[in-house]
Amino acid sequence: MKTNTRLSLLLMALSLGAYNPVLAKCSPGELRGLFGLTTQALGSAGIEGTTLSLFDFKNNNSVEEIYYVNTGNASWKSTTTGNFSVSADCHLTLTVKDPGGTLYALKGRINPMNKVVNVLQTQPNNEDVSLGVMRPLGLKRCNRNRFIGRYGFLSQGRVPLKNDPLTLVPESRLGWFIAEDAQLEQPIEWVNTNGVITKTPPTQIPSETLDSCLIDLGQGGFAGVIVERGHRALYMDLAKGSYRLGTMLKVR
Amino acid sequence: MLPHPFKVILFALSLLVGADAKAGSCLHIQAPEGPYGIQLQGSLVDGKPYAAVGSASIHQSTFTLQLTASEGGSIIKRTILGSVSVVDCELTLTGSGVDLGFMLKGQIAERGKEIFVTAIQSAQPIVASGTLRPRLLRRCSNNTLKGTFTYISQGFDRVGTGTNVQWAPIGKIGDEKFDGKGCSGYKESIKQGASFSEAEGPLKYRVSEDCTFELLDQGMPAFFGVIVNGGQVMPYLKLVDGAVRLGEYTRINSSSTPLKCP
Repeated sequence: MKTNTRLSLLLMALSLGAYNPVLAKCSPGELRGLFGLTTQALGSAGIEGTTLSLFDFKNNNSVEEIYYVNTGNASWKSTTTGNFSVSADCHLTLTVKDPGGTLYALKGRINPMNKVVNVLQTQPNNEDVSLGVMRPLGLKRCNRNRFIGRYGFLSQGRVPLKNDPLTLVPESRLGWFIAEDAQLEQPIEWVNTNGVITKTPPTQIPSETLDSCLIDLGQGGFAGVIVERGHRALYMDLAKGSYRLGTMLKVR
Repeated sequence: MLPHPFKVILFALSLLVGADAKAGSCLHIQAPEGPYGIQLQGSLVDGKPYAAVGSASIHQSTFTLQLTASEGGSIIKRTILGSVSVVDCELTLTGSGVDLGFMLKGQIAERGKEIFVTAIQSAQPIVASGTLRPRLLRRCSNNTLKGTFTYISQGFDRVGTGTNVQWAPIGKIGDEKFDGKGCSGYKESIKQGASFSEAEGPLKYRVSEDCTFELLDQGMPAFFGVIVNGGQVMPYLKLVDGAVRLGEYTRINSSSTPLKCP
């Protein structure tokens, strides 16, 4: 009886330790549910591609991904499936095959405190360097009330100069908007294109929040994904020739 | 049947929040004041990569910004002075005197805990943006870093010389333990062009009272960073000539690990 009590106490202490944030280690079940990610592929000429992904990590260590890619010449949306594993020291290994059969692999480091994962694409036959920060959605599905209120935003990348896809220049955009039912009311945006600053007039942008927590902005102009329970959203420019990623963050 | 009182309170609160969101109000968000850390990444208009880390001190209507930047692989330190204005959550830092032509446009988010910023300068035009975050610590020491952090960094290394210069992309993710006494140990995954590798090793570090820090490799400063968000986050810059690399540490824990210094 005494031994059993000691054993129970020891097991209880061990189980407490496993969930103590100071001693935090990861279990195979560390990643479950929906996560959003944007990555930029860096080549010798700068950004050479962008992606936006919504991952659904399943109980059986399989993963489903809905993703957008912009390679400059074209942008598209697709889905894929794959497998993942999480080691006790919080490392993620993820492999997926796209519909064309191309394998891609990610290595990640999970922060057990907030489930944010730093990820790096790892296949050695790819010259580009792609990486990003994967963030939990904290939601199973979304409706339009998940993306509502005042947000600040910042985006940066390379865009075609005067719609010429052969002449790319760096650009950043900064401003704020109010997300309402089916549109964004954007009173101001500062645009820095190749070092020249302009201020855009107030505008309205159509917005649709999908059940999957993906967002369509500007009727196919931008793709976004809601993360952190709608507190933050990641987005990418889908225009031909544009390599631009951004973040929207609630003001309060 | 009368609604549950708790539901009534929640409903009233949702109406208040909803009304505030609808108006897009920036009320009750304090104007930036005190010490901040900043990180910027982008490029010069000639296409060379740019990255910078620094600290900003904002007091009422004036600011002092100390930036350490890699401009096309050349490490440049500068101090910029000027004035501050805040209108409806839009922050503007305008350089004055010799710094005329420098401007930092900002958008306050996250109740002021994160300010999106984009830099504008007329002398050498750039397109660079990032974040300004409050330090939330009065002063720092080596002990402030005690614990384990994850990190992610990306950027470019200059390859070749003269007209044959190319920019080789590099990305890293890893973990680093700091012992609180000036020694650290890292373990990382590296993607550099087509090659992928793993590395680990020890470093020394020193934290200044103003909450900036340096990581030393064989006695020489190899990285420069700034502690923000009360020691939870630390953006950093590689200090080696020819490198334009920005990274960020995020704290996992504050536990002490005995480490051997190099």
